Amino acid sequence: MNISIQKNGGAITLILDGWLDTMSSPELAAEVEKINSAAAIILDFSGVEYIASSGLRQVVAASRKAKEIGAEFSVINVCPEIMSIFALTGLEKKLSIKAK
Amino acid sequence: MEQEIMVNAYADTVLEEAAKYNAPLNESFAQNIWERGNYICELYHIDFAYILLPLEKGKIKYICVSQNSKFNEINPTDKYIGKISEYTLTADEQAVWQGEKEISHSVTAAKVSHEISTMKRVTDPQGNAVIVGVDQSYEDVHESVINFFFMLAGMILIVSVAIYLFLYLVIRQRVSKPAQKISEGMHKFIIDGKRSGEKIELGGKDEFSMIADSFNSMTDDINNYIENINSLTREQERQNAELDIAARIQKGFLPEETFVAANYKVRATMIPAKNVGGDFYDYLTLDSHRILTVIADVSGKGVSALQFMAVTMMLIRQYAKMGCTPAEILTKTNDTLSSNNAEMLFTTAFLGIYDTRTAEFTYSNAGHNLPYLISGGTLTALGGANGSLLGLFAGEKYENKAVKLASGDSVFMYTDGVTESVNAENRFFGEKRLQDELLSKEDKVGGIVAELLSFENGAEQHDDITMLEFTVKAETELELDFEVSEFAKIKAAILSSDLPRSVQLSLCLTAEEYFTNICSYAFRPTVPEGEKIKFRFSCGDKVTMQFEDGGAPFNPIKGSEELEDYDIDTKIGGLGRFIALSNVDDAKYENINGKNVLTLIKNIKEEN
Repeated sequence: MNISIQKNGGAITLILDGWLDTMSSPELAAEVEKINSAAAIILDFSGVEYIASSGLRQVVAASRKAKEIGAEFSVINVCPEIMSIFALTGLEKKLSIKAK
Repeated sequence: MEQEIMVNAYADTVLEEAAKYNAPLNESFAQNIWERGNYICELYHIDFAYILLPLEKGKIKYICVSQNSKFNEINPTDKYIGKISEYTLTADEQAVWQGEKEISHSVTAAKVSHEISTMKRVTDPQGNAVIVGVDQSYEDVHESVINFFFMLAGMILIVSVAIYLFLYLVIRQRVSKPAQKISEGMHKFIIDGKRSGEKIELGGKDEFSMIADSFNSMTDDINNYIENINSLTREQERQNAELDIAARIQKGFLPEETFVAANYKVRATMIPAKNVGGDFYDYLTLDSHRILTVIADVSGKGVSALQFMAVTMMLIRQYAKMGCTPAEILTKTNDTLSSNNAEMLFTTAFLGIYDTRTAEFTYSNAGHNLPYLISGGTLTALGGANGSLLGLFAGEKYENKAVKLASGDSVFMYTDGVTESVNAENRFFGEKRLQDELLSKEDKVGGIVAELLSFENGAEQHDDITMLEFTVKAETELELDFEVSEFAKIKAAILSSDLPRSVQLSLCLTAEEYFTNICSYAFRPTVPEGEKIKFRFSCGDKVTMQFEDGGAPFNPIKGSEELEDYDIDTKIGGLGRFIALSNVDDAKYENINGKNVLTLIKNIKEEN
């Protein structure tokens, strides 16, 4: 998975590209780990077509990190297939998730 | 000529008067003739009319001179009576006087104008000869000639106009009107496209009437031909419609062209010929592990072939459902058909039953051309179980033969409509071409239909074209280590299937969740040497995935039907198995011989 980071003021956007599966979700975890302070953490899912439960856990972990450092958290540009998984697991209601 | 008439008229008058008074033609007579002479002068526009008597040479004596009233003032004529004048008769006049010539003409310059004198010798009853003459001025003659010419021209003009009018009317009546009528009639017939039966009526017996009669009989003929063609076309259309219906009924008997089960698939087609043969293919799942496949070619064409086909098909189905083997089905079907077949219809048939448990394809053949077994790039004709045609001889025996089908093998059945398909150059498609296509085409039925169409290239199809391919599906089985990274192999297998992308992703998700689960929990803390996870994957109208492992017995389905509410800030459990189970339609866990066997089934919904 490719992750590129974009900083815009205090907001940090992680732009994900690839499958967020068991093998690749540690990469997301590592990137989130690096963030020490931010006004907002945004996960851009425009390049993600697949997410496994391990990936979902890392999304949840990122939201916890944001809460820890007092940053806003959101997931954006989510495709319908992944949107339905967020809905299925109830995360859609617990996190700020925006469809593509 | 006019002068002659005048002089004769005057001469007749003179003689008439002489006879009336019985007087000699001398001066004494003059008084009697004078008035009538004057009258004649007026009547004929003569200047002078006179009677004279030639005397000795160079002299004449006027007996009477009448004159036109226009000379009365200048030339009182009574002085001329008996007057002797100097005048020499011309040669002509002399000849007249001598009686050698009847009439003379001469021109003299008179006082008033040039005069034309016309003279004639006259003898009275007493035998006295005199000369009577009339003078007319040249101008008058000229004028009268001119008048005559004008009159003549006028008359010619009038006659010409009259002739022209006459001809015009004649031509109009005889030519223009008939031509116009013919033209109108033709226009009505041809240009308006109504082909009215209206006749061109001319009457008569001329060329135009002949043309009209010919045209009338031609329109009759054309209308009759068109009517004939129309009724033939209607009849043809009716027959075609019946054949179309027959072809639709024929197709309607047949099951879907494609059938995909978990372990095999059937792909078939039947393209009816225009006049409807009696080909059919058929397949039928007899129970959860056996499928019957049939191909047949009924003799004859049209409705009779269609009925025979329907009966044969139903009998085969019936006996197959009763649990008969292929040979028994053929034997019984043949006996039934033969017992009541006055029309001596018959059919060839090949049928096979595939059993998924044994992977055996058992077949029997009733006179049908041998199907091909396609296995690993080689073709083998399925012979060795050949019996005779169905429907003719009761009591025929048929035999079974079985062949083992490996995964990916297929049996290709066809009717001779395929190999005997003819192109515009009258060439057969042929067995060799069929064999080549079977080895080169991935989609054999579809590919050969396309090849046949381009081969025939519009040439009429004479026989039904029927094919059926039965294929044992290749099942993917992977042996995997207990490593999460091994999921890449499962992923590759799923993504290389021909399923829709969204289905592939959904299957990957389920597979990944269970696979990582097995990797993590089957053996703890370490996986014994040689232990593998088996993953089986096959696609049909539903997708089957199966995991098999020798780890601790564990049912991963249990308790994962629902996801309990959770707090986002605490550890979330069971998320993966919950998602995995939600994504499939059926899941079954079994512990077989100490192995965990998890079977997952996802139904493939037809797009649209």
